[in-house]
Amino acid sequence: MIPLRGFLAGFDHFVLVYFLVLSGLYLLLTVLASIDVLRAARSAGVDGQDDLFAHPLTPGISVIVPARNEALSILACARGVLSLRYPELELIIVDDGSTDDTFALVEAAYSLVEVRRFVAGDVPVVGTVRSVHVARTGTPVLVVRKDHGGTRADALNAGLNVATKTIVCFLDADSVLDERALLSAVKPFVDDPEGVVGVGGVVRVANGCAFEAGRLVSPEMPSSWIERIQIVEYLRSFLLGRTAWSKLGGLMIISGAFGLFRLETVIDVGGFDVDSIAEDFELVARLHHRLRAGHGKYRIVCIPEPAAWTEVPATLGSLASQRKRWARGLAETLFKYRRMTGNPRHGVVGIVALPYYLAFECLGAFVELTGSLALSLGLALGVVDVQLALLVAAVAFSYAMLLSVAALALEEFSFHRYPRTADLAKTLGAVLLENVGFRQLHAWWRVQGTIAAIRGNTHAWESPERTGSSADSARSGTPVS
Amino acid sequence: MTDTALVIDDDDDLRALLSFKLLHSGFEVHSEADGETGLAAIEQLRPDIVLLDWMMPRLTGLEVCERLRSVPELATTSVILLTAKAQELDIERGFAAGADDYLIKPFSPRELMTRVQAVLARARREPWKSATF
Amino acid sequence: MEIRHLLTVSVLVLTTLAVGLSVASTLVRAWRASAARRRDVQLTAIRPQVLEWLATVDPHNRQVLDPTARPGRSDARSVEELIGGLLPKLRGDDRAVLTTFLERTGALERARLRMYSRRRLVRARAATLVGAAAWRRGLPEVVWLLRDPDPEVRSAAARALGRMGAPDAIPYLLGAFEAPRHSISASVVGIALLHLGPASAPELIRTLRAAPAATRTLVAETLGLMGATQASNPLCHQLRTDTEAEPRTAAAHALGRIGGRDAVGPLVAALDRRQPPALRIAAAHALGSIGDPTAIDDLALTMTDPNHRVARAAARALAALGPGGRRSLEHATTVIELGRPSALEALDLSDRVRPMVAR
Repeated sequence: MIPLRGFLAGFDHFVLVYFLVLSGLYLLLTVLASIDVLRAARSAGVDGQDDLFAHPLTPGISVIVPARNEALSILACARGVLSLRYPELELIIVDDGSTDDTFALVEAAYSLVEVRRFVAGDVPVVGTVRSVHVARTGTPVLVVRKDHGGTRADALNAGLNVATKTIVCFLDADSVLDERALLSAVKPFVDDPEGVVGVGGVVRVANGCAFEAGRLVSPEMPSSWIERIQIVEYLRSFLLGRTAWSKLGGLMIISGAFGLFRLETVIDVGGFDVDSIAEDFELVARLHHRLRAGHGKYRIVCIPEPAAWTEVPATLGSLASQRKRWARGLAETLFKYRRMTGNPRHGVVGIVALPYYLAFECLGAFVELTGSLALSLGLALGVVDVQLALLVAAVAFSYAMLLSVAALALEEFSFHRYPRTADLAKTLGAVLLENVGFRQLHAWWRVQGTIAAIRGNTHAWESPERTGSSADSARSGTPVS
Repeated sequence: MTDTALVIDDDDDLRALLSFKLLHSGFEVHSEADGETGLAAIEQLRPDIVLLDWMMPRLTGLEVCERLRSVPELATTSVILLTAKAQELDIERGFAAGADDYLIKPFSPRELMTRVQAVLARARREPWKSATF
Repeated sequence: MEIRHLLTVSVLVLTTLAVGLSVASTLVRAWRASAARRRDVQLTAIRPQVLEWLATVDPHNRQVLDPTARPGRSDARSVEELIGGLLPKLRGDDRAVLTTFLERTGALERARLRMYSRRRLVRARAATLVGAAAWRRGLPEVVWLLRDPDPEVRSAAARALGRMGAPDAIPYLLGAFEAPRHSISASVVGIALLHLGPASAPELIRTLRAAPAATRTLVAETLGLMGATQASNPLCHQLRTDTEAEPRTAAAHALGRIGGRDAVGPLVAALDRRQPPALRIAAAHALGSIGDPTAIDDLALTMTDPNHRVARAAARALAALGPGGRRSLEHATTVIELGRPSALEALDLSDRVRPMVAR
């Protein structure tokens, strides 16, 4: 009995220290992000976007949209992209072995004609490319039809092989961009043409919002609490987390739902990993790995606004499979690039960012769950003082709340995209709900995902086909940090 | 007979300024703030000339222009496209969509008025040309 | 019980902070909404008056100005704000009228003084206003802001100079571009130079000789975009003799845009496989835009280039070279070694798409 008691007491101390370190880090990230976000929000109007829009030398962008059975959203997506405020862009739709009307719809809408286009093998593609089509009218749309290669990465690579512009932008078919999203996102490339290789955009929750012809009309709150919680999560992740990591020079994730890269650089490092289930995280990790090993002077950054609005899972089941997949992709990628973790040669990425992802994002769920278990066990055995345990729990709870509220406040002080005052109350409600129940459930999913990665069994929980729901697991991996 | 002009631009200031200018030049003026209501207004009003902004919500000016040209009854309507897109290829696309003239923002309203007169004069001189569009 | 005490205090502090932030958010939201409403009411009231005045005022009568803004009017700030927002959308007489108005009300003089402000956004906005109004008296301050410690302010100053159409500012712009610290990005300087218009071409051509490589690149691109025909010779020289790849590539782009036939020789020479791929691509594009059939044989050979992007550029250029180019493409489709994939693609695109898709 004594060793167990000793162990429990020791473990509780470990959890306490772990919590303190994590809190300190979050505090630092929050402060860093607030400075940058508020600065960016105030600079609107003097950032010269209109000049950039009118300038002939603003770099062209190839927008690559992988589409597998996206008949419901593909036309709105295409219209949205083609009416974006950007001087030179081409839309590349990769029809990834769709069995529905995806291709027929695009063909009719843009009077596509097949061309015998030479498709280079710059990056590997598993599914055979069948044909390439362009619009007869000269509208800059290009459709690549290919066999399904099993992963989203495969479709993205097929798009990379036909892209012709300096910058590529990856976008989900059910994501909708703000009108000026590309102009803002290209600015880091333009300001630092030699240094910047990747720019991550903000992703916000589209559920419940009103859209028209591929453009957001008004941001609104979705009706279910599970979607509202994700609004808070995404705000915290993008507005606080990524902005801060970007400032520190340790940005590890550019969401596959909205990310821009220099085409030449992506091709140089070999495109997406067609075997990875978190291809976006893997690509950024590889860029850090390869570019640091090369010349060293490169930057991967993110912008806090404007945004891509994307559909998130609306049911517990689909959310669970998404989060398990993310956790698994995170763990697999961390394992693949384990040599970089803690390696001073990789700078902030090696010393700070990767250890953070390993200790808190990947293993955090284990600590959280076992911590709760140990606490309960300790209470049952009488090792831990009831009052003390409750106090510790209260501190953890109030700190988590504070972080979420800080993200909401930052959003309110900067971009305030949600117009109604009731929306503010609803998000505050979601903050409360997130910490009781959802948080623990999420930790459990993450543990499952990580265990799956360790055991290496293949895609056990994933249904092979989309079920037609607005959002599902086969979308871009976007680990929320 | 008074010529009818329709201003379609999502910029409130420009829309109002152009409307006033046209009004003072003796036009009957209507205005709309987006492509969709703009297209509906074109079909309903059959204006002699449309000043059309390219970048607009819902329907872009280019789409409005293409749709307008696909309606035979609207063949005599003249269109001047207004845009900040200054590249040759864009100008080409503008004319391919059926615009009669093209003006790059920021523009001089006075120059625009001159072009409006010129485009209308051309349409009156060569009515058969616009009919073959 | 030290630790309990500490924990209790923590919980209280954290909760207070969270509640405080929530309340602050709500207040900010309410304050913002009411400010926006007030501003809206004012702008809606004055907008039609000001715009109608602008639509009817005689631009050559500089005496009769400002019928809407009576002295001491409470919404004078809104009128100035409205006009400040209108300036960048206009050119010519209407802009001149507005500038005169802002000069009379003292708004431009106030903006000049605000360029000395300690707040970066105030400086940037002031420079933007002076630039949009093309107000020459503010020129020294705008030039001074080119060396501001804040990057947004520097860019705003460069943009303002372009809008002011001040060719005498070229040395300052290029100086700010080349500065080792606190420099301004090529894109911003390029846009500003382009705004200065063709009148600045002679000065730009002069700088080609002695400038650093990045400047040679930027200036060459700008001259091309201006369509400055008098730059053709110096650009050909740069294409042939420059020691670095980027200025040569930029020269090739520019020569394609200018379109003179005297550039065909140097461009054909730049198709050589020992040249960097980006230069080969640029040269092929340029030869397509110039449209001189004497380049056909060399472009046909370039379709066999090991770099598929170069081969594609050559094929697309041939498609633009009339019947001779077309014959050459058709011939290439018969033999794989002659670059069949690129030739097929170029033929399909030129036959099936109209107008031609972007490069």
